[in-house]
Amino acid sequence: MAATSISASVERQAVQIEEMKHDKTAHGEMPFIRFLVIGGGLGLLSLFLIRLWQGEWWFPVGMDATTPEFATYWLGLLYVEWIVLIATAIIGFTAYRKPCSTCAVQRKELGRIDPEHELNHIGKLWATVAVAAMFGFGVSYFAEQDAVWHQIVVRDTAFTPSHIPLFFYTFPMLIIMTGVSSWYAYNRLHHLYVGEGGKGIPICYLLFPAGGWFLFANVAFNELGHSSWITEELFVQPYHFPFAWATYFFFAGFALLFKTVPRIFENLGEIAQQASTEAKASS
Amino acid sequence: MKAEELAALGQHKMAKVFDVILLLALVGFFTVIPHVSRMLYMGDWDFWVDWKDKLWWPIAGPSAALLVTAVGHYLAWYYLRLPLGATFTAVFVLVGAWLSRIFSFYSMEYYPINFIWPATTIPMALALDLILFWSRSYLVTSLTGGVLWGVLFYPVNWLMLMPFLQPVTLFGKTFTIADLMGYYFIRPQTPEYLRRIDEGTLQAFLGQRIWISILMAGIACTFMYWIGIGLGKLLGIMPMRKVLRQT
Repeated sequence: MAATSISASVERQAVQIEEMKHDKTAHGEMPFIRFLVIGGGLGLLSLFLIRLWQGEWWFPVGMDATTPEFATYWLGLLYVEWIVLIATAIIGFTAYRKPCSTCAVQRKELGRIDPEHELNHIGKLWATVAVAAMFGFGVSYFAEQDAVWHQIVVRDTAFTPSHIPLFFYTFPMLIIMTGVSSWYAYNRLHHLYVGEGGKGIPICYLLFPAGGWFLFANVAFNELGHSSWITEELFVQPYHFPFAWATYFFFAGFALLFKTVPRIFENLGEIAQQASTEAKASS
Repeated sequence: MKAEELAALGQHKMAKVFDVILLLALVGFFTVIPHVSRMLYMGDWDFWVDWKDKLWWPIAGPSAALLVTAVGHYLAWYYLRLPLGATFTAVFVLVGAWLSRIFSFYSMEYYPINFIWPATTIPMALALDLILFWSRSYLVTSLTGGVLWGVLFYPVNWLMLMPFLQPVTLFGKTFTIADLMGYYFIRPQTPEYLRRIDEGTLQAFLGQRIWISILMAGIACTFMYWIGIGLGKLLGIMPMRKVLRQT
């Protein structure tokens, strides 16, 4: 009985390996176009809903941070954002915590990764960068909104209606999404950055998420500056400059992307070659 | 791989999908990076029409705007050989700025649009890209395009600013329309004492002071172009090659 079950399991494994050897999709992962549409769509929707919430509630209950209504409407929104952030971080980092098993099988059995399969991984990496960029759009919008909000309301708390989406949603979301991009590159496409069997950490893995991290870190410095030196919202004051410097780290995202471009062309070339060989054989 | 083979591969369906994803990433990051940079280096000059003075705005405005535009210009040329990076950046920074002006400044806090319009840099960005395309030289582009960027900023935006510089007399005092709007549309967090208004010493130059600012802007932008190139090289290209070795 036991012997039968072991042989069935070995057989299943063999079939699985055979399937994996010829797997052209990113096996067990969401396809990258779907990831882009769902990730980007949900992200944009969240930014849009926050803007609607602001339009509805920032004058009626957003002007005085000491009132109970403020806690209900604005801190409530903050807690919802935190739940979304934690869920995204957990899903993003656990989903890609292990190297791709299909890649491992193909490397072992065929000595190389199927070009179409690898293209799917590269596409996924690019999609994570594009979703992160979409949250960058949110930073661009809510940051300037903060300038005008403070023309109306004197700064009475760090959790004002304009800070809640900016400092406590889009900044952390940028850390998470840029981190997921680097994490994905590390676990799926590391060989493109350090060579087959190479070791080490390319600094674009670190610099790309560093942008979001420095943005978030500067929130503390900004609040310290506003409570100690200049309470007015003069936007060109020097202790705002580190926010701009932090965004420069996002340029490392292009290093992360463009490093994969030669392999995209190699893989496309191989796919075209295979297609023409198959066409010749069938004719 | 030969150029013809590469061009053929570029027509592949998958290559088109990659193009679209890259475009989305470029739009997002080339909106946030230049927009945040611009709003923090030239923010109040860009937000309010009464801040658009003749002394500091023509210098701070183009210098701040060029910094990240030069990065876009450099990265597009380096990675894609496209002389479009500056124009792309200048367009999307304005998209970001206008979204915020319309959906925050105007529709949430009711500042009139003609009080809060952002300055444009698109004509100078076109010039910058064209000069690089013709000359194929960053040095030539910095010496001609950089100077043009600084020198043209005020004249190009003056077309929009001009109506707000007309004099108006109220209670026996003469103001510009821009100043009068600044008094009516109250900004408690940008009080009058924070404004960088025209300073007395430059009045000695009578009508020439704007020319002095414009000249200074041209010189500043020549240097700013190189800072942008350095930034692009340091953070957009160098990380592609550097690997921290494990010990």
